[in-house]
Amino acid sequence: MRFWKRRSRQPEEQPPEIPVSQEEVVRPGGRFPILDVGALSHVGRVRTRNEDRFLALHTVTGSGDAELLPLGLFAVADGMGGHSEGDLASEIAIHAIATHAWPALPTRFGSPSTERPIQEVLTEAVLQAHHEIRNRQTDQDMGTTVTIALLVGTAVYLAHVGDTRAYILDPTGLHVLTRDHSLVTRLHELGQLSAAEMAHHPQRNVLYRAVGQSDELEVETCYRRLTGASHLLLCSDGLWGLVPEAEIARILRTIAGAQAACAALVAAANAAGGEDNITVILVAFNLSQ
Amino acid sequence: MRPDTNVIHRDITPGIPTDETGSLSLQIGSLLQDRYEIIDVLGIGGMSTVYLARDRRFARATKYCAVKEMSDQARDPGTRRLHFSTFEREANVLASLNHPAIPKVYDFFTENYRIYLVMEYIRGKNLEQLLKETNAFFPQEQVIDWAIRLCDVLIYLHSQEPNPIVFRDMKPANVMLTEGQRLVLIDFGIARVFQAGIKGTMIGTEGYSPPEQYKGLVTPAADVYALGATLHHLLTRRDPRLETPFTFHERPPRSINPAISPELEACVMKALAYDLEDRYHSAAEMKMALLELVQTSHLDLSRYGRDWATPTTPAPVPEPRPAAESDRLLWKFACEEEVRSSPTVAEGQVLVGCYDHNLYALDAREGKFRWKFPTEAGISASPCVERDMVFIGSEDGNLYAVHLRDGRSMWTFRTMGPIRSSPRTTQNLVIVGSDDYHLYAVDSRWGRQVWKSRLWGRIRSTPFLDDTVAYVGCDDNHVYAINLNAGDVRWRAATQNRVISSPTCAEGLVFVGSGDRHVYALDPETGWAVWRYRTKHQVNSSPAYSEGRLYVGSVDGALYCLEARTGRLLWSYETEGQVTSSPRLAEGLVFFGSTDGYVYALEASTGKLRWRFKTGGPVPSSPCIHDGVVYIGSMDHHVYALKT
Repeated sequence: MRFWKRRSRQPEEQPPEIPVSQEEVVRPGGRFPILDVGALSHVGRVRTRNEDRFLALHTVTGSGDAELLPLGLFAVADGMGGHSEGDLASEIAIHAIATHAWPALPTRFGSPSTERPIQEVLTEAVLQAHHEIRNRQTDQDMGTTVTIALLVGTAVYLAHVGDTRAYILDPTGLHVLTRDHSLVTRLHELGQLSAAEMAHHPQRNVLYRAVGQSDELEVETCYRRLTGASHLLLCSDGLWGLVPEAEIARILRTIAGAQAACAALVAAANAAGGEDNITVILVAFNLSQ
Repeated sequence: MRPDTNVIHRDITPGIPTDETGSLSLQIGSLLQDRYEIIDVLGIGGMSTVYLARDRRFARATKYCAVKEMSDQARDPGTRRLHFSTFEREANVLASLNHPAIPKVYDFFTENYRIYLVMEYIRGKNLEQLLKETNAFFPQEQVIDWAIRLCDVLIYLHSQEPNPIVFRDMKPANVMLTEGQRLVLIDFGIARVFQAGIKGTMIGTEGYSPPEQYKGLVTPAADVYALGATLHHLLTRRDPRLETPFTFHERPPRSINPAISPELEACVMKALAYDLEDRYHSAAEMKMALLELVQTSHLDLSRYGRDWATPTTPAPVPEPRPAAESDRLLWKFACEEEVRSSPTVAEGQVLVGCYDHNLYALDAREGKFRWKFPTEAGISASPCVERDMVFIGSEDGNLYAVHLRDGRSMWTFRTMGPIRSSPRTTQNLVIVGSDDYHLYAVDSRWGRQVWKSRLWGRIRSTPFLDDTVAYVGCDDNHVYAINLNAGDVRWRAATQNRVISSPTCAEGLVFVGSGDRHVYALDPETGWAVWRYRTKHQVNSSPAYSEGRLYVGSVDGALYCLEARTGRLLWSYETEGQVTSSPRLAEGLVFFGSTDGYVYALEASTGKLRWRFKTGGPVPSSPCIHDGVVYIGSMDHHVYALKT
């Protein structure tokens, strides 16, 4: 009973004049975006099997009369390996992420001390995938890329291994958030290869890091505040390897609806040859301020 | 699907070789050319198998040799012929070489569509095996001796006419060490011609190759780089094949094995330069550099192989670092008690609180007394200046506003407990925490309370204010985000011990230390932990952010530099006391105090000590840097002004 009383009690004293301008006041509602999510995966025009797998979960959470907080867990895995193992690897990875990352996420504001930091949760989900793949391996060449994006309010937290990319689109253009773990990207970072040389290098598909390979796996994490951004895109190299970034940006800006834009992106990759499996997850949001 | 990214390397490892049908291609006991009797399998690689064989031509003696078998997987007979002729050419080149560190080639032939090369049998271990079988770092003298000998064999190979021979595959696994401590290069690129048509690259071997090799450029300088990579591996025990390619510069040998001399590190890193111009141009140049460092560092290599250089002059006593402490000190000012408070500089004055109850204003240039303002108890918090007012909390429970020019009192605001939190100001509000469990917002002009927010413990952390929120730590183990307009809690994030450290915000994250030994990064909207880094003791120091890096001290004695986005450790520096002082950055240096009595200045990028200055007592105070001067208090009752 006391509980209810306390809830309905009036404030003890009226706060005195508050010398804070109206712009400083946090308006309830409107701080967080509303998500429009689309996803699509296609085998392409050359391969016979689609070894990409993906996951797109999104919801809202909140506590008390605080604003609803959008929460999304998105992941794309691009499998590799000889026989039928590529799709097995990407499948194990997505399953591990869904079962390990999602339940470990906090669901209310403030983090209880028992909860683990976001980057640890995401990293451990990738490492879990790594161990499960290694346990199932019959041949050493089974592996997969993994890119996870966790959207929390107006921030996106990423963990990735390999060359499946995450981009955001803002008025200034498309920005890649991830760093490919590929030999050519490393050489480019060192100034040893130009962007043009990279695109045609015979070893452009060579990764130096993949889930399920080598004993120890280093998972790269990063994050970005989404201020000013309109889209978050996750895609396998079947899209970014074939469709120029300017064209991707043009499609995102012109096609309304995330699912329709995903279809247009896949169509563009296929029109450019469809040399590989194409997987896209697109999250469109509006920050209403 | 990515069929050509199978990046698994199968190095030559002992095992039972099998051909494509799964059976051993040569049985033990079988005879090749009616002469070479297969005795054992020495190793198996992707393209080849090496057998131990006995040469039956010498019936009376037991003469062993190594027989390398190469399986040519090309289907087309023309391609095979090409392979064979290339192989023959290389075998002839090898056969013409004569060097103690190169195995002798005796014979080559084809039998049953396979190519065989008969070589000197080197009984010993390769350096990779040696790395695996040991745990401790090799002595640097040992590695230098190997390095000089490897330079010698490279010099020999590179000086071959008409074309220099580039080994192309220098790595620990290809360097054999015999029982007699002879060093021999093995696995000359004979098998390489067969790899040309194979799709995908065995990334596992990539750790030792220079970047230009991926542009198809192979010069003797490639061997210099690979030798550098090999030495790096031997000195640090870090396998470059397991690291991100071309990241040697991110882990210089001394950062892993501090026993290495700086000269040797410089030599290895020069061999590992990405650009050809920056690298040693030849193995000969590298050998000269190695011999020079043996001389200058007076290393004794006589225990390892040859006596490369005997120091002829007695070792000079290293010059002690000049004790520049007197040059460093600009002035010091004596108070009557300990100075735990951190100074602030405004309008040519240093403002600092003291346990003798006073807030002092000193002339920043000369340290002369300007004025003091007495409170009723000790001051451990630090002053904050806005416009012409100084705000200071005292353990007498009051928040004081005094005039910056002359120290006259403007107003006093009373709380119910000692104030050890330092005030911060925004938009005519002074925000300060008190031991009475409240965070207060006080009108800075009149000293009236605008709101107070009741938390569940003493507040000794200093609030960090952004446009709408105050972030503050509390003794109730939580970090709070409190809305500035009304004082309501937006979120609170739990840690496992009290939070005395003061938060700081950068790159869209809130950073704070906790008594639970961790440094946390929190999401500013939800308070969710993004990462945490564990030190060995409480973190009461407040993090400082600069250029993507976070600097923070711990009671464990170290100052840590972490990557702000990930919490990854970049470097740490051990002092002999506790670091509760909060670091400050200026001019590429990070400044802080320690309870060992020193004020430290480290290079922010590397954590190397630039200077340190001894005071007469522990230094829990945090420095203030202004116009090339470090102002800091010490528990020896003094305020110091030091040149940066």
